[in-house]
Amino acid sequence: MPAGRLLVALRVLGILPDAQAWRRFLDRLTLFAGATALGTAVIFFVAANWTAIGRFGKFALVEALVIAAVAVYAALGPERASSKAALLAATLALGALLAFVGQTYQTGADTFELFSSWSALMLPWVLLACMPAMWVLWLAVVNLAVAFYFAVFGGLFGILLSTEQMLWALAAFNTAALLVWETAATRLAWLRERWAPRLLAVASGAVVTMLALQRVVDLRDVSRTILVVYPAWLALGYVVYRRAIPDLFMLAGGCLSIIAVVTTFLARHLLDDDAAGGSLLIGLVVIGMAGAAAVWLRQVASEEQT
Amino acid sequence: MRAADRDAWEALRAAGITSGEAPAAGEEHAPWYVRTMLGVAGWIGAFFLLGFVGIGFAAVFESASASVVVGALLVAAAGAFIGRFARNDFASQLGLATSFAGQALLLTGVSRTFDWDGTAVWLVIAAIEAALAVLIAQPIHRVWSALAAGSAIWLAFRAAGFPAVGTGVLAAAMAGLWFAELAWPRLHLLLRESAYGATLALVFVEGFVILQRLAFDLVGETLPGAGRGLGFGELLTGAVLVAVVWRLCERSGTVIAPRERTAALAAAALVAVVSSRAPGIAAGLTIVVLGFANGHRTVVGIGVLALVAAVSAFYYGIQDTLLAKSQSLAVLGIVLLGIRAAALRWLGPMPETRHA
Repeated sequence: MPAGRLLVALRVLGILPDAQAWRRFLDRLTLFAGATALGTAVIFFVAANWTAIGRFGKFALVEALVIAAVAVYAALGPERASSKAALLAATLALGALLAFVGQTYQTGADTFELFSSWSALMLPWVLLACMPAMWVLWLAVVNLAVAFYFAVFGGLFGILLSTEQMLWALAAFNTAALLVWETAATRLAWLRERWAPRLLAVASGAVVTMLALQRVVDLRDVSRTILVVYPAWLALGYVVYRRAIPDLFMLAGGCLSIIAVVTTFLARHLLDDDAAGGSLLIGLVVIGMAGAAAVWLRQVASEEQT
Repeated sequence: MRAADRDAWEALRAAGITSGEAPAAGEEHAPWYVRTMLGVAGWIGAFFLLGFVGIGFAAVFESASASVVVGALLVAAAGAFIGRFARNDFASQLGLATSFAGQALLLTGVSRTFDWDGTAVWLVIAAIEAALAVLIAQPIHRVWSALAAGSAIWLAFRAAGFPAVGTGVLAAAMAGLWFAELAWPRLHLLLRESAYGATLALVFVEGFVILQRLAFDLVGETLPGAGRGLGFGELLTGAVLVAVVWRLCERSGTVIAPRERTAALAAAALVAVVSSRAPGIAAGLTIVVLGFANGHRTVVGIGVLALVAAVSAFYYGIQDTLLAKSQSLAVLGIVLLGIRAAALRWLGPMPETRHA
């Protein structure tokens, strides 16, 4: 097909954007990028600790921005993209305001308290926005609060134990959040965009895989619980994403996690005695596992399409 | 044939673009995340194959010329194997891992064998990888080779003392490949996969530049070449953004009126200038626009992630004070919202949808 006809064909099929789609795209791009830039500008401004403006002036400025953004939301109503962008800017400015309170009054609060307060106070706006991106922002802030909490309260056995506790807490939170998201998405249409639960699954999977890898290499005295939790997590993922909500992305992620854990296990036990032979064997096993994963995923994709 | 394919054929026939019966379904292509998983697994496999060669045949690693010869043989064998068994997933994965291991040997050998300066070595590596991108028609391999070729071209410019020019050249090459994807339908697989590789190369290069600046800031050193003009690379990438907008207007033909075309170019130029102090913003925006223009949501996602990473890293750099950065971001936000407000006033209100 000649190039000119190809462009027409792709436009007919809706693959290439038409003028209306371009306008909508640029409208959303400028709106949300602009709101994010303004919100982060406020955070940078507070962090700069500029002395030319007094603390009351700064409070007034940041609070005025929060109030203005919420007023824009109230004036435009909940359905418009502009009002959602206003809530996004208000949420970012709220974070700056909380940081400024801690900076000004030296409350002695730890960083995790800033992030946990921020996550609690932004929650009503997140609920109002009905926007996956706002929920992802909220989940990211909670993840930071959890990470900073364990950085401060590492327990009696120091940093090593606190790292494991942090990983367990993050694994539990992100997995629970993923399950809640998938369940809620069966009722709420606006939650059905796949990028957000996939991002959550990456967060959950990365942490669970990291715990399994730590157990395999014995670098840290990771609890044996992972020997039960890791297979259970994989089985749950299989049931949910192979049967209930078919999603090839999740299955591919599970395959990669298994390849990483099995490879590390083999490397831990085979390389000591015969490094050359062990390397060749592990290389071939990895190739075999990846080939089997490709065959299986292709078969699943084909079943889903038919 | 799937129902979706049949519907697409009917839509094209109704528009007078095709005629006759629908052709038989072609080969199914795996989605990007399956390819990514297989690519990562390919590199893990290659790592252990390399370990086998390095430990079992240490003499190969110790001799630069032996590395070149054995590496080239491995890559050639892998290429032939992939070509012969393209539809077999196991064979394809074996070929991929073997080729990656061969490339690591070959490129290590090349860099040690010849007494060239850095620029020449990187140019030779770029040429080898570009040739592999053309010759080995396996999607994951092709994306990797294009990524390696793009990165090597930038490293050649860096070795010559012009990293900023390299960033601009890489951004222009990426844009050129995305436009060529639809201009030469016969080569669209080669061009699309190469464009993906070039896009990833640009993201990695921008990430490297940002991390390098942060590292130099951390130890209180001045980045070599910084005196050649901070933000020059970003300005060049911004120029590519403007050129991309111009080319997209040309491609759209009469759909975009001359007045709108002028406004789009002016807006792109304004954003390019305003964002020139923040590394990675112009590159991220260019990737987002190109991805949307060619209907690739994955590319849009890569661009958005690059933008988020660039803004996050911007906080930590010390080339500007936090106050100056705050001002830059505020101006960028006001400009973007101003462009939107102007578009609404000029073109009328957008029909709102329920969800953003």
